[in-house]
Amino acid sequence: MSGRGGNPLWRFAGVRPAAALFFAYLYLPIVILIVLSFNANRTVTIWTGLTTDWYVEVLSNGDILRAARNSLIVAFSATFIATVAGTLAALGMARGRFRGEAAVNGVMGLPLVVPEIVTAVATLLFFILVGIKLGLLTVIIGHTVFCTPFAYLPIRARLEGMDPSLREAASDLYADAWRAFRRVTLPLLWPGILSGALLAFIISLDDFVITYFVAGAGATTLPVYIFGMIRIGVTPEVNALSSLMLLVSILFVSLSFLVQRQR
Amino acid sequence: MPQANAIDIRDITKVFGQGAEAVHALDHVSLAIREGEFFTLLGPSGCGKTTLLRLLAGFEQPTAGVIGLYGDDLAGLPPFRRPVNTVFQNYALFPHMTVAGNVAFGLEMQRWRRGDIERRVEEVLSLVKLAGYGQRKPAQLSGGQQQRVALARALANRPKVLLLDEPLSALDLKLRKEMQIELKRLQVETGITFVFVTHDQEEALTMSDRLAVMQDGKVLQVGTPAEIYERPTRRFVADFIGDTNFLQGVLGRAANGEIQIKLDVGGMVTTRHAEAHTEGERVTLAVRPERVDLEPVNAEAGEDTGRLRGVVETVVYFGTDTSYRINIDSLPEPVLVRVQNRQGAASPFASGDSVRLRIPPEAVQVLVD
Repeated sequence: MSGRGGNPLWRFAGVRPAAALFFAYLYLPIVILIVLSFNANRTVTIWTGLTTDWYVEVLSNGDILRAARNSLIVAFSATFIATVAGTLAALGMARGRFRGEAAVNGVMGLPLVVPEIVTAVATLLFFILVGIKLGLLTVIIGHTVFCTPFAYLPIRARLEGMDPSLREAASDLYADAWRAFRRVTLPLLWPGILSGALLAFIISLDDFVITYFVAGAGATTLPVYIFGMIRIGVTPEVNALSSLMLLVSILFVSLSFLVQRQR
Repeated sequence: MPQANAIDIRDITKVFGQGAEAVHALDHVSLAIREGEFFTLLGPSGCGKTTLLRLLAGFEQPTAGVIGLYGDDLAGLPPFRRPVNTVFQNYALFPHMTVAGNVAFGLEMQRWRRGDIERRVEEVLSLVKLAGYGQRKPAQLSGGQQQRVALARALANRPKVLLLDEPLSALDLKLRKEMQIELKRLQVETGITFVFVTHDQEEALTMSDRLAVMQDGKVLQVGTPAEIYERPTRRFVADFIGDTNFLQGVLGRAANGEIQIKLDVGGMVTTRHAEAHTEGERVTLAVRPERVDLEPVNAEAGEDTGRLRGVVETVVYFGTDTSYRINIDSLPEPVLVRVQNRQGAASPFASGDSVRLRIPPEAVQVLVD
């Protein structure tokens, strides 16, 4: 990027068009979705003029607002539990080497690689076997499971980058374990915790597959609601609602990024 | 009344790991560190000096042995209950706190009153010449300034003993020299007992009241810098500190307070100290290069005791002195001789010249092993 030479790859013909094509493929649909969410015409393919009516309609739709409320309840609960669990896990893992550490580390990240549909079916099966009635609680439990590794990883990374002599210095300066944690470890860990929490939050907010399986009646979240709307057809309300969710996601990712960067 | 001991280390052993992988970091170490002295633990990396310091701080617990601080057994006491403070090798300043916040930390933990803390922080910051830097963050300071903050943070608590773990190793040479003087000044001004860990022999010699030379988890010799330099008892000590020539010989009889030693290379030298040895014993001698004189071979020499014949191999001019490497028949290594340069005098000897080395009795140190 810097200087006259730049990336040597630019020498090859076709690198630029390929990159352009890739990004177009990735983002053009999203741009179109956002543009169409302002289209005054109900038919998607015909542009008649600019309007914000669909947004008004979305924000005054009781079902959508209920789904949004559910989404937020689930996201906040799952994020909270996952972040606390992730922080404790990271602190525990950083305490020292132990037998089977690699295995524990692997198991911790497993939810990231297990196909979501498998987790979804397994979770549903588990709830049925145990006899828990499907509802908002089961969604929260399900989300907590896959949010935990997302919360854990940034916290662990932050902790790993922390100079172990800082804790020793605190202890040397008359701070017992709890005060050393509160005054030194926690403030330094805070950006990691926050960015882990934000990551967990958007992952939860976006989730469809697991939610679709384990959400009982009245526990519909926004992604599930959008899926229901799509079955009837892609309406401008869907576009508007999707755009709003995109906005929230971008907001949270940016926040997470900013928090991660600051020391 | 005998001088009080600040620290009594009795028969300390520290083993890391278990079974076949066990490492003896410290092996039956005993030391007494006196109140108010600048005491240095000197040795190469892996000799156990940092482990010993960490045992004093309480970051590690000894496998066996007792550590006493002014007579109190420190066993089982966590670091935050020990009236000692540490200056870490990498300073370990809290990056999220200001300089003043760092210095105040220990005082806050000891529940000092706010006004007292503020006064003490000011006082200590001016002691380390950082008055006015209180509101900066550690990252905004130079390495030398961070070093001073680390010192201030530890000294603020008026520790009974200050532990310093190679605190100068991260500084460049000029700054290191400055901080050496600074540390010595702080130690004298505060009267606090300093236990200083370093692998730098020059640092150890110039700063310490006394030092302990360590190797492989053992203390080889304890003494003042002059004692360690002039009277090393072990080959390792003589070799680690400064340049030394080693000669082998057999101890002869004593006469007039001087003991004769018949050298393997031929010739005799005498010494005044060989208390640990008896007549007829094989011994190793340590001879400092600057204690040896060179004479032209044709000089009228009198008796031959204390003189060796050799041929100059190389001459290196150092400004203050000139260093010669002298080959002696049947010695595998040339003997190093350093002669101070007199005003205006060029080296009287050149490569290839035959010379005589004069080794006076006080230059000969008989090693224990």
